[in-house]
Amino acid sequence: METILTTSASGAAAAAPAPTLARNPLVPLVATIEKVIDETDSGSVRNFLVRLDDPAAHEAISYRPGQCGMISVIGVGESMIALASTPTHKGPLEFAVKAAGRNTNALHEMKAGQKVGVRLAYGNGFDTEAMKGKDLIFVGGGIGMSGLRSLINYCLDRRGDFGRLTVVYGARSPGELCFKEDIFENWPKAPGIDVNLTVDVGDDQWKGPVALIPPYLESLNPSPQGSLVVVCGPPVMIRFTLLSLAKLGFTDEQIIMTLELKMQCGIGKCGRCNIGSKYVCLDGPVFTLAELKRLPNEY
Amino acid sequence: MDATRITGASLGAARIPSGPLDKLAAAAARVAGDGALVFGPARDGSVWGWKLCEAADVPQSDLWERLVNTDVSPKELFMPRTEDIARWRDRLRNLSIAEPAAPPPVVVLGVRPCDAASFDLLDEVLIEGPFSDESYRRRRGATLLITWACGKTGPACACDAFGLAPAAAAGDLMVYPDGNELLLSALTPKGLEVLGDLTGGSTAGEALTGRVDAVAAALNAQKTAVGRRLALDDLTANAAGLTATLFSSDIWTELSPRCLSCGTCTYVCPTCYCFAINDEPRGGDGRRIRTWDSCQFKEFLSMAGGHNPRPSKVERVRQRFMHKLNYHPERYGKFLCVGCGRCIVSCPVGLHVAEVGEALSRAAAAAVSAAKGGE
Repeated sequence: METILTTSASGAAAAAPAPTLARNPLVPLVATIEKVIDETDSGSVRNFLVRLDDPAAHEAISYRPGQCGMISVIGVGESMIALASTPTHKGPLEFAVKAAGRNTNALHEMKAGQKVGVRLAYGNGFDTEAMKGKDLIFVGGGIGMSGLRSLINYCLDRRGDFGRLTVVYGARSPGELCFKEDIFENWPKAPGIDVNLTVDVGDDQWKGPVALIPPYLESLNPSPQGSLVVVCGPPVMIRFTLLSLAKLGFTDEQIIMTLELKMQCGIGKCGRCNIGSKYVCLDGPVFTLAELKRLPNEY
Repeated sequence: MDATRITGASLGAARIPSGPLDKLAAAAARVAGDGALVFGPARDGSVWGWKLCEAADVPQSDLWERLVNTDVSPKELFMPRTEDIARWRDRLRNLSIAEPAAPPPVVVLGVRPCDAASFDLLDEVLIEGPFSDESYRRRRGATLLITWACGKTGPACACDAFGLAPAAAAGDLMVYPDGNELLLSALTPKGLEVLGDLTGGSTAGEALTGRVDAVAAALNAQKTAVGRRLALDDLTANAAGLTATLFSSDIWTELSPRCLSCGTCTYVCPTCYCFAINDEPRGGDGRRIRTWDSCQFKEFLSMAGGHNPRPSKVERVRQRFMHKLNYHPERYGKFLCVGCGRCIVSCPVGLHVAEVGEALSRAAAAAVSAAKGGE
């Protein structure tokens, strides 16, 4: 093509990007459920261990603790779920899911061998660099242990990078505590980790404390000195745990939380999960309390 | 606002007579690529929108003298109201998921400068960042955009309040009305190819680009009625605590009762991009689709379990205007509004961006002067 004027093209507005066929991040990959673990006696939480059908794609998966994946019952919907597995184990992805809406209820009907759609990894995840050398306190309530479990197993696999690890985990009843193999067997045997479990209501076999998480946490009297605390759980537990942490002397910068908000695309495009100028799916779900206090209170 | 967004940098220019545009459309289609589709303004019932033009019904240039702008923004050419994300087969036994075919090349004939600027804003959200909205990116990349400078402004126009102007240069090729003729100015190599195709490669002299600059300057000197009364300087100061001040302002409880939550403002808006994802199963097969959605709808943020962070119109009206005038500027450094005026024209209760912008500016100024008084 002849040019009319010989003006350099460098002064032109940036040309629109070429229409190459990069993978569309909204299109899920086919995955197979390898195993379903009933995490709670009531059946409210099931852990789905899934593997991408494309072995190369599964091998290439990379994520950080605290990041999320979209798991979809094809034909029903999609849910953003914190990954319960740790990237330090090259096994299946683990999605511990509470039946709450249409997709999660449909997922609870699925069995090993069936197909789901999966796409990942989304969100900022935990800042494990900033955690290096610190004593870490993990405070989890119910299903909130899911993302914490990823982080705790990550820390145990990189044990030398972190100080003392303290787990404080509570549920309504002993049967509602998730990840029983980890909390009763694996973690108590690991070096330099304290596992403290509590329940709101005990049963005949329960020998541990019967207390709500906030007062139980206060009774453990963790030191804020050189510590970071990560809190995940239901809103009411969060609210009172934050009061307890303030009483114990933790600053807002030392308190790390994860947010939940309705999400659909997971990639910062659909406009759903903003809090002020932040998108939970991109800039979260992990925020420090100090960061949250700078955002509009609309979540 | 970057001055080059208004003046552009012409790579070459040509002059054609006013009247039929079929030759221009055909040249653009050839440059856009095999099977290119040409879209232009067209009326559907009483609503002006965008329609596929066959060669015979390419609009004539007088259309752009009569029509200030389309009622519906051209964003749907890049972000259709509904489109497939993927199709799946045999969901229960042997699931396979396929993406739709790549979109055909498209020529968009005669978007207004405000709408052309809206695509730049959408690009920042949808293409840039850690992920790219591939569907949007493919359509944008396959498009040749012809922008038509405004010979006059409409009663709801406000481009100049948002750092734009009636002849702000954007797209691949600009068209400027100049008496009985049209001046064409190429802004990209693609636009230059169109000129070459159209004129058979004949050389246009420096005098012509000089004329383009003069005509553009005259058109850009037009001031809009809304823009004249809309001073948003207090909102761009980006003072510490501005978000909190505006978020907790009383104006939301004052303005929101009028809103009908119809969502029209978000649908006609060229910069609103929210979408929803839904599955449509047909037996074992089906498709996952995305559709336009609106933050003005109550269900928009209603979560499994029933929690809704924006349960009333106060929060939802606040979200729309704060997003455009505060959250987006905080994240991207620009208002998420190009002053096209469609929400002003189409809101059934007259709740429009100029009025809200003024109220916000006043709230911001009051907070600043209160802070100064307290020092």
